[in-house]
Amino acid sequence: MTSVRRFDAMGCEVVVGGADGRVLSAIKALFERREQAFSRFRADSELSRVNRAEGEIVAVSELFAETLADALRAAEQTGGLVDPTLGVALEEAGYDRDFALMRSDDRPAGHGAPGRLGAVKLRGRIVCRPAGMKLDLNGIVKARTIDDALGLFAGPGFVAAGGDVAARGGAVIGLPRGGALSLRHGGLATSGSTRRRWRRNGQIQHHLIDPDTGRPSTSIWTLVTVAAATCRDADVAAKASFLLGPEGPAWLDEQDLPGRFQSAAGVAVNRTWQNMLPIREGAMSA
Amino acid sequence: MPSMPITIARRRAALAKRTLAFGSVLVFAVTVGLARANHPARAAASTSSPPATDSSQTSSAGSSRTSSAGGGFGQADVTPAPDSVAPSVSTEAS
Repeated sequence: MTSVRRFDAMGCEVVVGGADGRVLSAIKALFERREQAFSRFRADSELSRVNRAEGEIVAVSELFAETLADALRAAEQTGGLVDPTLGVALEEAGYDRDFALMRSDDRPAGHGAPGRLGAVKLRGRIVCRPAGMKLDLNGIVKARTIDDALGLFAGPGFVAAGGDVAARGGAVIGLPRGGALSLRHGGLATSGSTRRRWRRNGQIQHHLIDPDTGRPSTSIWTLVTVAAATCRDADVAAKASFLLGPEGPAWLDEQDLPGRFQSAAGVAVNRTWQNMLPIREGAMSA
Repeated sequence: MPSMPITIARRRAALAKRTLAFGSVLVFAVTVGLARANHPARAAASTSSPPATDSSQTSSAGSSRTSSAGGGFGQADVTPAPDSVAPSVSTEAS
């Protein structure tokens, strides 16, 4: 594939393959609009406005409502594991600014703020949630933006950002710790605790919060890679199977999705991955 | 019966509109309250399975923690990468 271009958005590098100048400009503009709407770190974003609102009922834009509806659907698909109500938990862990600006901190992390999925409701463009709850839609927004960016292509191409990739027409994607696969159509996402991590009072923190404890997950996995029809599906499934820990591979098999799991012990794959992508190098079945 | 002054008609219409809006909010609040009391998403939580190891086989047993999952994920079209082609991009942890 020719013409690979890169730019920064949403706190990560965006890599675009196969786009001409017009499509690239449209993709950059799309990422900027979504970041402006959903950034936790921009005081004038719509998400920040919703999170600051003192009343329980807030009117939101159509884009916000669509995205929150999809985040709630992701929660339903994962039994509440991928939870959009963990904004306070992220802040308590110390993730309260753009990741590039974060530094290790002597202050201890907070005690945790478990998810309150049942307390958020969406009716049309009206959101009802308790004052003080902070939504975090970052994961679903990034994945959906990648999918929507790919939709701007007339022909083959790919869009990648922060571990998530969507491709059409075939792209060879490198995997963590080596190996590669060919993604003809769909999405591939890797979630894990090895990159977006920091320390609070000497304790390692990361951004994948267990909604039951409201603290960074203590999953046995360090990285989970999943392929699915869309980047959004792959991202949601990768997060859920990471948070599920030992149950992650079997759960992904139930969804008929291939997953590749990395831990301190090495790299393992689930049965679906083994069937679709025969193991060549090093990886064992999980 | 004399016709109602237009200003009163307007006031009554506005009052009816406000009442309707208040009623909608009330119904919404009651709905939310009931939903809060009955939300099922976090009903089951168990991670009692033994840790998987690199040499263990995938079990087809269901995940209790996600037993209420809605499912509905679609599949990608993926194949092994040809040896002769270098990756265009990599998937790294976000």
